Amino acid sequence: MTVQSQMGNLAAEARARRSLARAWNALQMPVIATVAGLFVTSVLLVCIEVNPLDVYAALLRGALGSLFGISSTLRWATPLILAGLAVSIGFKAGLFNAGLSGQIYAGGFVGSLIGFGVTLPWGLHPVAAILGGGLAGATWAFIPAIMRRYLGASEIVTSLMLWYVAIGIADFLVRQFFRDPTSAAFLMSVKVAPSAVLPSIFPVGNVSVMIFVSIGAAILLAHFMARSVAGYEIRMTGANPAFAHYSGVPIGRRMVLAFCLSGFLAGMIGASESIGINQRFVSQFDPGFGFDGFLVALLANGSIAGCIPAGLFLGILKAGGSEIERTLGLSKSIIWILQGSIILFVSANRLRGYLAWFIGRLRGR
Amino acid sequence: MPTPIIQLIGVTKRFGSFVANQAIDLTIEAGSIHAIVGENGAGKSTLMKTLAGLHMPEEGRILLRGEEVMLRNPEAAMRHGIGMVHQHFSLIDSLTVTENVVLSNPPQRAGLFLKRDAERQVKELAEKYGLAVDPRRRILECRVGVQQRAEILKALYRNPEVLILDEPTAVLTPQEATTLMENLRTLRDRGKTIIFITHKLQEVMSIADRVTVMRAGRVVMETETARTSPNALAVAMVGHELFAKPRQVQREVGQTLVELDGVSCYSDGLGSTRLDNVSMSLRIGEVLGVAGVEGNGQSELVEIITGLRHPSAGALRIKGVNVGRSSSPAEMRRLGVAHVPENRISTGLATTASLLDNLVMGAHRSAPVSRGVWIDQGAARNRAKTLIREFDVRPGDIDADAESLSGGNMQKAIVARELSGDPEIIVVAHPTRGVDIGAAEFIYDQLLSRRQKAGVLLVSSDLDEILRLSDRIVVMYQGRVMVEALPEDLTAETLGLLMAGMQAGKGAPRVGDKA
Ligand SMILES: Nc1ncnc2c1ncn2[C@@H]1O[C@H](COP(=O)(O)OP(=O)(O)OP(=O)(O)O)[C@@H](O)[C@H]1O
Ligand SMILES: [Mg+2]
Repeated sequence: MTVQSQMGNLAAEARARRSLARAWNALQMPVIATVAGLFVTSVLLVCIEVNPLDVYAALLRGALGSLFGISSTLRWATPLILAGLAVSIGFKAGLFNAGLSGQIYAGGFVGSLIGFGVTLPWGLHPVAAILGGGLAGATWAFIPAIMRRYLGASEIVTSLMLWYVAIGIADFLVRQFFRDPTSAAFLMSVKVAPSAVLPSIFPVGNVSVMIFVSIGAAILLAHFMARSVAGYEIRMTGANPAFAHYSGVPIGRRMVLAFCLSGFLAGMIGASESIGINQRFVSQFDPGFGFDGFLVALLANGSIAGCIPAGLFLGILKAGGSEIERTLGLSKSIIWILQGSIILFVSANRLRGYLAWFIGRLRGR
Repeated sequence: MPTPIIQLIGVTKRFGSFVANQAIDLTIEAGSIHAIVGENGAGKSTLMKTLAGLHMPEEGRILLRGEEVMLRNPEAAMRHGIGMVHQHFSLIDSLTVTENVVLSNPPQRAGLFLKRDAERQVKELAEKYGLAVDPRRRILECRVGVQQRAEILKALYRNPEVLILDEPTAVLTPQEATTLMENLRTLRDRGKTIIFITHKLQEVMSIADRVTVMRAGRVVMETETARTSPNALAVAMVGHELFAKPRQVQREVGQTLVELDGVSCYSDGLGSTRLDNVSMSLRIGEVLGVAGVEGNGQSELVEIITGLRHPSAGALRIKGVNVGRSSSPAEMRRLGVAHVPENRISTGLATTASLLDNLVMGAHRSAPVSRGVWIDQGAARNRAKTLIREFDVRPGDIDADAESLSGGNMQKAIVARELSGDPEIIVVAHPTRGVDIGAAEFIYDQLLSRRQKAGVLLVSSDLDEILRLSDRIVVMYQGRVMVEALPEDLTAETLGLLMAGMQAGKGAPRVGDKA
């Protein structure tokens, strides 16, 4: 009665059922957490005598109700998905990339540098800038990774500290050599060449092809982690380094690889913001994607592909916030409350155990 | 009849759709020693975890001294006087033995931890129960046997009325096990109630008052120990009688696989010697048994041969090749070394990964499982399923996380993985630790049949295991090879004496001790 001896379609059906079960398993927690987060926020809203339904309606209207809303959602989802991926890859290897922001900054600088400093044909220029930004991020991640490997330095501390170094170096170089002479108050570089600009693919707003790149990256990475030899070894290194080492996996190299991949994704965010949104390097351009990446990764609950819906969801919140502010006169910070409470519940992993026990108890009776 | 201290009525525990405990009725009399036996995966640990407040059952009632209780968490169980020593350690590695033992209720004054007092208390507790530990040593520096003792002390520290021990003797040496059994008897005589799980039926017969046999999540037999026999218990457990197959000692050996030449090993930093000038060899066609009390250098020996540790001095040759200081597990595995480690949770498995991922390890870089940079899912699943079937790992769901397996089934999975792919040098530490008697026989068969094409280095604290499987035996004491002997020249008694450092084993030639 083994699977091999059964008909092929039965096996396929079993496989399908299995992946369905796995998908539900992965989704359960985020769904429970979202519902719980919505509930908590609703209670708060009721306390200040606001109808929560109005707020959620405004949120959805703002984020999805118009072409502009949709484009705004996608614009935010682009870096959010990438940041979520960067964090998740680290998690898979058992590493905590706290210095995402530094790698984003490095990528932003090098991406714009390629944008205004190099002449390349139209199609190639943005590609070079994005890849260059990615490599800059990867390099910036490589330093803490090898410090961890050879010196035992905690990657959390070193990568975080390198954030300041990245800001210092990039801002210094821009101020000295590339500053836009017309900019007075803000520190920004000259504009990138027109050939380097990522055009918007929507009639309104600022969505570039990078949305497809981030979704594609998520799918590719999910496949890589689940199916490739290196991805498998990264997962095992994260799951139990002692086991991986004992089994002959080069865990040091796998950690470095995962961390650099994470940095590469972060660097792409910086480059894409630079050549797509700002069309130049702007000091402090990152509104906190590094931190948002952790929210996306937590919401995705350890799933790489899950960063797509999680990033889109947080994109909706970001995009919808202004509509709440505009139509209800309510502070945007309600979005932060919602976001925060959802993440709180995602991390409350015993919740699921209690629910399962409760349901089991109901069924048993 | 007095009210029983514990009564379980119709307790059912499910994991998803899997029923681990099915309508269990169990009565434990106060002041008795109650043994629980059963095959791997029968649901013994699950049932005891329910009593210790780690699981809440979906159905059924728990009565303590006749009153129904809800044991929501381990703290609640402890408050009710139930303490448990788990099958797998729950110690904090970076803390000392003392800190771990007193963790739940440290002695303090004005909010300050009284370290001296704690160490004294632990020392006294250890002496009282004959469980030798160094209170100041950090757990990660302790051998498994010592960790187990710390774990038992941790439970005893809260002075529980009911002490549950889940396979406490699995990692103990025979002497330690005997001492523990005596201690349990003393505890009982002082009015405590003991429940313990074991796979060693002699232990049941020697100290238990009653015994419960579990099978596939149910209680299939419950009786007074005086009214049963090991055979009857075995029949109830597995459904048929078990015979130890007689075997032939192998004398025909071939090529030398592993050669240690004056290998010494100083422990990191501390400078104390873990291995002292050890020379030995392992050849194709033999099982070389390494006997010794835990912590006398066996672990270091294994780690050196498997590349997890480098010798501080001396030479190591694998199939004639010098592998000196640069060895790594990866290199040793390329040379054909397989390794069943002494600690299945910390080293042998990635418990949070699927059984599939755990079984693919090692085969994932070569055909048919790997195709270039990709892993062939079909081939990987086939491999995992074949191993599971061959070694009867239950339940055989390869997509389940390894941590959902029972202890014995984890062990079977590791042995299955390591023996696959016909390794030439098989290094096994405590291969049947936690494995039920039926499965242990199977593993013995496997190891013996591998002998034809491989050399097996067997480290075990189970003397019967050593005597049964080995073609040649070395005894280690304080990092040295005390004696090399043939199994027929040794009895369990002489072996025990040699392990304790006595020199005069009759008929046992002294070799290897060159110092
Ligand atoms: N957390 C869990 N999730 C899913 N299944 C579980 C979980 N814990 C235990 N099981 C399953 O319940 C069954 C009983 O497990 P249990 O650990 O109680 O066995 P056991 O009798 O202690 O076996 P052993 O002698 O090997 O320790 C096993 O089949 C195991 O796979
Ligand atoms: Mg068990």
